[in-house]
Amino acid sequence: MRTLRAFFNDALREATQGSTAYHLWMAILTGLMCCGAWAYSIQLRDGMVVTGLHDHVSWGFYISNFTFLVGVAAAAVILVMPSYVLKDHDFHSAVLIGEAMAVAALIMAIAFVVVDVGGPARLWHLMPIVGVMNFPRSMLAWDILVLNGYLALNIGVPFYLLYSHWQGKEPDKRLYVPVVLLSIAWAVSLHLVTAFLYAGLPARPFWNSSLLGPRFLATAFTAGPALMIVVLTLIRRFGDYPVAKETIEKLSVVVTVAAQICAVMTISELFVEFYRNTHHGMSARYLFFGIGEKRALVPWIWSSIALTFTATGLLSLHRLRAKKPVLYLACAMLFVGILIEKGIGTIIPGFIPEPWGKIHEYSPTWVELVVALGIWSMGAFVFTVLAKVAIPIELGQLREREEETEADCLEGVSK
Amino acid sequence: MRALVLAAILLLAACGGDHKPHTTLLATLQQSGHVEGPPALQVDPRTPHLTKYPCAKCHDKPLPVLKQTKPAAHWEIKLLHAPGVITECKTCHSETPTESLHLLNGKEISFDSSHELCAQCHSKQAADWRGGAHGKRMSGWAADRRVLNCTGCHNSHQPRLSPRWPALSRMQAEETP
Amino acid sequence: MTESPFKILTDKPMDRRTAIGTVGGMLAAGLGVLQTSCSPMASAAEKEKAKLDWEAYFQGHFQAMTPAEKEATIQRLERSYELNTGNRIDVSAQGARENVLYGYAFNVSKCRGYMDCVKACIQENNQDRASGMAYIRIHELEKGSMNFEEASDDFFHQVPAAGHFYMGTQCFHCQNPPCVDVCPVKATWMEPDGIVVVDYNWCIGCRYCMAACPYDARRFNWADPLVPAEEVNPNQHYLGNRLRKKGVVEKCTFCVQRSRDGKNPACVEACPTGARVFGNLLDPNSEIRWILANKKVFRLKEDLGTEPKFWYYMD
Repeated sequence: MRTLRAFFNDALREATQGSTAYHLWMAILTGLMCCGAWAYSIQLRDGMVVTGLHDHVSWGFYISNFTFLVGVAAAAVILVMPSYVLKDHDFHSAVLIGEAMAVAALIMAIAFVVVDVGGPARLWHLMPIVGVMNFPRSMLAWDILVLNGYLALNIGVPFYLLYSHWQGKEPDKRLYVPVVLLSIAWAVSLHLVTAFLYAGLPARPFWNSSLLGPRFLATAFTAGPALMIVVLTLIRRFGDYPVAKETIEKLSVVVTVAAQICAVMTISELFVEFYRNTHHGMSARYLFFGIGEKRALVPWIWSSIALTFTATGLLSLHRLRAKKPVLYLACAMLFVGILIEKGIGTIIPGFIPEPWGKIHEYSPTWVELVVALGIWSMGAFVFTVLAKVAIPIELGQLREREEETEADCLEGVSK
Repeated sequence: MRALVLAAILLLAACGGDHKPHTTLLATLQQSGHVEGPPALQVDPRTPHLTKYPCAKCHDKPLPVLKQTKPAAHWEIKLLHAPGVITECKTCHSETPTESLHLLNGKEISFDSSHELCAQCHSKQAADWRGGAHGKRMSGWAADRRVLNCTGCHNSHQPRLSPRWPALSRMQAEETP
Repeated sequence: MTESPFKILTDKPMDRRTAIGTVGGMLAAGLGVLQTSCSPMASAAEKEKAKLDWEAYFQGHFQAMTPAEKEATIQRLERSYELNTGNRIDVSAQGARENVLYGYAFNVSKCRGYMDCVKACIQENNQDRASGMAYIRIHELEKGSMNFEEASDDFFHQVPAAGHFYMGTQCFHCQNPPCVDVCPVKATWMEPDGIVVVDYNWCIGCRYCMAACPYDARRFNWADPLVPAEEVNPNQHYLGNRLRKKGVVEKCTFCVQRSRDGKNPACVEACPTGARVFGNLLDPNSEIRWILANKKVFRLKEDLGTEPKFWYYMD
């Protein structure tokens, strides 16, 4: 127990100390989080009328972000799997960073759901025992279970690994490998369940497609590792954490294959939606070409298509992919392209046209944008703290001190 | 691994068990009994609503005499009901006032039963009205069925309804979410 | 509906937007109760109000309540309204009648687009006036097609317009309702008499049901609903037209406060053309059953397997 406290003291000290740039970065994030909290307080006071949502498009920017972030969180598995299961140690250094990213993404995803509900104070109705959960009928109930379970797994495993390393012990494989295996299955089901949340609604033909789940997985396995490549490069540049060249190379292969699969899925989806121009294809028609004067999403989806297809083309050529600037550019393009596609091109057109065919457009208000910015800052904050603590432990710089006293700990905190 | 598969099977079974039995709504309705005929009905009397009733209020003399003293009576009535060719006043009204209407076969019929008169031509509407597919029910769904008769809604002299403005506009509501 | 207990902490007049229903509100309510019960300045009424709000917040799921708890909940609603406005309301929790399954039929030939039903519905059900909420939509369709995409639901001209016909949509009270399946907290369910209802106190406002409904039957309170005090319909039902708060979903309940009383829903009563028929589907002697047996009827989006209890027919 005492060791545990010392661990947290060490972690806290590590997280609160750093260079000026680190403090500045954290200060900016804190400021943005405060802006988000302020915008959210306006939404709480006046109701969700301050968002751009209405009875016809009843989910928008928040739920879009939620969907995208669940994908990012699920993609952490791509880093976990080869490292633990295939015993491929090239990925090892990236795993903890990946899991930190998953934790940050999950916290953001949960936050986006919380800000989207009309009665956040009544969320206790979801809790076991005191509340009522519509399980197994409601896919949202499934999603809540899967999200929280995945969060627990992604906190649990890295915590055990870091705690062991901090103590200078080798973690017990028999303890954590089964949990890792479980979390791999969990990650796939997490994103599938989130896709089923939408795909299970015949009321929305745009989502009611069996390709939605696989497509969610494919985009997640593109955007997640793409973000990882960028983040790992940044960490290598600004920290002294060694990230093997092979790790980046293997990740780039994962990104490339996933992006190619995404492209095939996009094409087959477009074919079905447009070949016969049925009423079920109205949402796609609105998304890609607009209907009459209503064409708010058209520029977005085409920029997403342009970004993802160009990036996929670049990555598919080995010579180009080998060039670092091209790789980073392509990864950034894929991430942004998929963020737009998930954020704007998936959730919102599901509601347009509404069930009786009317086109009511939606665009987020500043409140939604500022709240979202606050949540993203929170995610970046959480990720930074986790990475800040994890890296020195992994490097062996942060270890349990033999003769640590209570006073030392307190002193450390106050420093 | 085996345990995982078992757990998955159990979970699926639980999902399956939660489904409602697949009986259709129509089957449920059939179980409650078959429709025999039109539901019983009471017709709201019309006579309390008639402004020029009883006829004897004015019709105290034979018609030719009245025409000399009160030539302008019923001037406002313009017959626009299968006009001219098929109907005229005498199709439904008697020349000698008896506080009633008459059917084509001459049988006298109360103003409260005017629907029987209408049904002579409008047999399909009459059948729908008896069954409940046409007309206005005045009692709640649970109480004995009480309906308006034809003239409760239709002006028998000009049965065609004229256009009107809607009770409210949804146009502004469109703009504000 | 609820006056914030937070109000007494400040001298500034605060509107009821600060009412409970927020994370901060949770704390504020707790503080408020504490403050109110400790402060000698707070009036007895303020104290009672804060207590009622507190109890309402922790109220359980309606279906799990005992009859006594239901009664207490009803009394709390009535008392709370009286404390806040000085007016009285009569809230009922009357249950479903035995052997009753409500159904609805709509005569496409008879509807003339008068919208009397829409107006009556808004008034009967205490719907938000500020946002122009309406459960019923009347679609003006061009003869020759039943394509709703081409129809208009915001017409305002003399009706019926030449070359057009009219169809009303609202909640169809599906026998296999997708909205009920998706609710994560079972805040919406189908009553034994077939009415799909919402417990406004239990709804968390996630709006999954709105996404799941293929008929656009559900409405959300994006802001605090506004019903002028003199226009409030005081005859209310817990599962029906009682006053709502912001952040919850609501919908047509076949006017549960009327139908369980043996009356017809307000839209049926208001329709001057008799295009709307309501009754007990389990009674072979009802009008609705006669229509199903004798007219050619259809339902909308029947292919989705929702089994609407709402049929259309023509003369």
